[in-house]
Amino acid sequence: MTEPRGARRVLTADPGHTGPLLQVDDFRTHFDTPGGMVRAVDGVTFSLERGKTLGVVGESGSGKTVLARSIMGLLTGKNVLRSGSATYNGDELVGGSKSQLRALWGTEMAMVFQDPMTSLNPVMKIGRQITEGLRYHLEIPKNEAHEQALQLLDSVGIPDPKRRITQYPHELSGGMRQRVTIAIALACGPKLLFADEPTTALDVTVQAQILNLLNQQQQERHMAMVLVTHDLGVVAGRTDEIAVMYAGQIVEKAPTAALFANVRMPYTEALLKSIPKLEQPSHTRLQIIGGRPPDLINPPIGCRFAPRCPYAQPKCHTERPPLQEAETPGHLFRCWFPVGTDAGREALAKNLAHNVPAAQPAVTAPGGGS
Amino acid sequence: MNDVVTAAEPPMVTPPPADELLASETKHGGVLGLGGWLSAIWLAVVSVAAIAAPWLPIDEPDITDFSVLANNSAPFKAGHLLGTDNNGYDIFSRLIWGGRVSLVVAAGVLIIGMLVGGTIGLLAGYLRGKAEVVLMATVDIFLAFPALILLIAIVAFLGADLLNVVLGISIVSIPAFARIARATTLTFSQREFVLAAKAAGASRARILVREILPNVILPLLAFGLLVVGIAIVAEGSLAFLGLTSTETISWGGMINGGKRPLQQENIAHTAMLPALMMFLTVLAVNFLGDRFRAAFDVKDSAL
Repeated sequence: MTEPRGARRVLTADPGHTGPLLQVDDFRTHFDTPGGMVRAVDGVTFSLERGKTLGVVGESGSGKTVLARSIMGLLTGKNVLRSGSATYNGDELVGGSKSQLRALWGTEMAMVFQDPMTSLNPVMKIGRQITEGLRYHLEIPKNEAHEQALQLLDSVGIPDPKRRITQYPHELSGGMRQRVTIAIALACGPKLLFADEPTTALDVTVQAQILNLLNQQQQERHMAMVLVTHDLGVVAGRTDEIAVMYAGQIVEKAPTAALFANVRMPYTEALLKSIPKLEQPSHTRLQIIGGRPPDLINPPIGCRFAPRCPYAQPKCHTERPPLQEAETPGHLFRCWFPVGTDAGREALAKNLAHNVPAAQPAVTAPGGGS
Repeated sequence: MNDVVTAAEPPMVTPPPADELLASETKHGGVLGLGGWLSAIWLAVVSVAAIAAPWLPIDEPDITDFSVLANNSAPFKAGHLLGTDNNGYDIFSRLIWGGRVSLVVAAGVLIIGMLVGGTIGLLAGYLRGKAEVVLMATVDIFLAFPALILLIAIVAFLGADLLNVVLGISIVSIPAFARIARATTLTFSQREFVLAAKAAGASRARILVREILPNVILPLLAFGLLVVGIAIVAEGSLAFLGLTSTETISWGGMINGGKRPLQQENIAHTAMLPALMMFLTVLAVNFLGDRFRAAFDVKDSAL
């Protein structure tokens, strides 16, 4: 139904570009499948300045990974339809030819993947995987590239880089491997880094280290970073802005502090409630979000979260809420009965009185768990 | 064929933790085992002897010793270690010279099969789409012929010299190489490191050659060792059927030549010895191939 808006001309490089590094406008990625058009990303708008970090949060299947990959242009199947606009430094990425995009990959923008077990080539030594980009893109001679690789490994916190550089990926632990993939991504000095759930496959003890490393490198290199995760706790202290995604759309977007201070969207609230908190007594049951994300071929007509929302009213099921701005500037949300407002409180009370929110399971009292 | 593959699709394999990987790595020390070492030594002896045949202190393989009655003699007599065949040729010498043919066939088929079949499979598995349909349909057509009949037809059509025999056996074995290469390419091109290489700006050709090929070549080589055994037997079959040049000394040809004396008890070795050589060599090759495959499978599942 939704057709791509046709190939856009990729603008010529603009060194004097002053706007945001990454500007995404009404960006859509649809997959044409035999079952119908899957709207994995459906009208996403945001912008990202150099040196800033955007956290993209949402549960599995909300379109976070597809968003990151398709902004970069990595999804190239014939059934992938991209539309809207995504400009990097003023250059349009949607509709760009493969060679134009490839010129940006590695040197201008790079990606760190979720699983370091599979994102390194098992039969290639660490050293060569790092130097490859240096020699290929920047045409640095072999010896010099080797030196740079040693420095990179050192800067991502790998002890004894001289030994590690001659090893194969299977000789390294998961955390080490993720450090190596970060070194590879950073090798050619990209200005924009996509980190796609970089800590999901790692031990909890290593997660914080890797996130801190990403933050430190981002600040040192003055990169822009898009940090994709399903964990609001991960992005809390490490991002400048957070975009919460649900069913392919941004449902709430705000500067990090403003978002946590003043949650408006019930989905964000539900995500926050599903994180264990230290101040809760032990054995407190976590609140889960009942049900599943909607079918992206036929999303609900109204608010996409309405079927699972404890605040949902008849209006929510029939009318799609627009992105509206809260009192704090830059805080956008997509809800008719926002959390923390009179309308929201009223809606929730009404639902509780009629025992409507069937999707929400009963909350066990503290201490009453297993 | 396809639905069988999809039906048997294994569930997602979770990678084992790192310390398990390390443990399995240290176990790799003895990939070969005793049988593997014996096989390797046997193959080395046969190969070196075959290559060095012209310089070895052995009888000329095609000079008839007329001093022997009826041109036949039992082993350990009249200066011929393993006796002479019904043409009065020294059997020991011909066993060594016959190894050259098997060696050429093995190497030739391995190289041509891996180059051509491997390339077809790599391209089909990586490019997908129309290229895959055309390439694999061609391969399937060849696969549909009974191998020996196709082989006989090729040799009959091209002529029976050694080069054509190698070509013929290669053509017959290419489809299997192509299928293995395609299947391996398919699994590896879905791995995240290929996407990572793409995100790092590597071109398609570069990804194919630098990222996928090194991962495909080891399983392909392990499979190639099994094909080598089949190729040696195939050459032997052709020679036994008298479809190769009689000028060429080969084990299959020797078995063929020893057919009649086989009925005479005392000189049954004329046919049995080359058959034993071929049996031991093919056994050794297969054993090594199995060992390598097992070793690579372990590595493959570990990553």
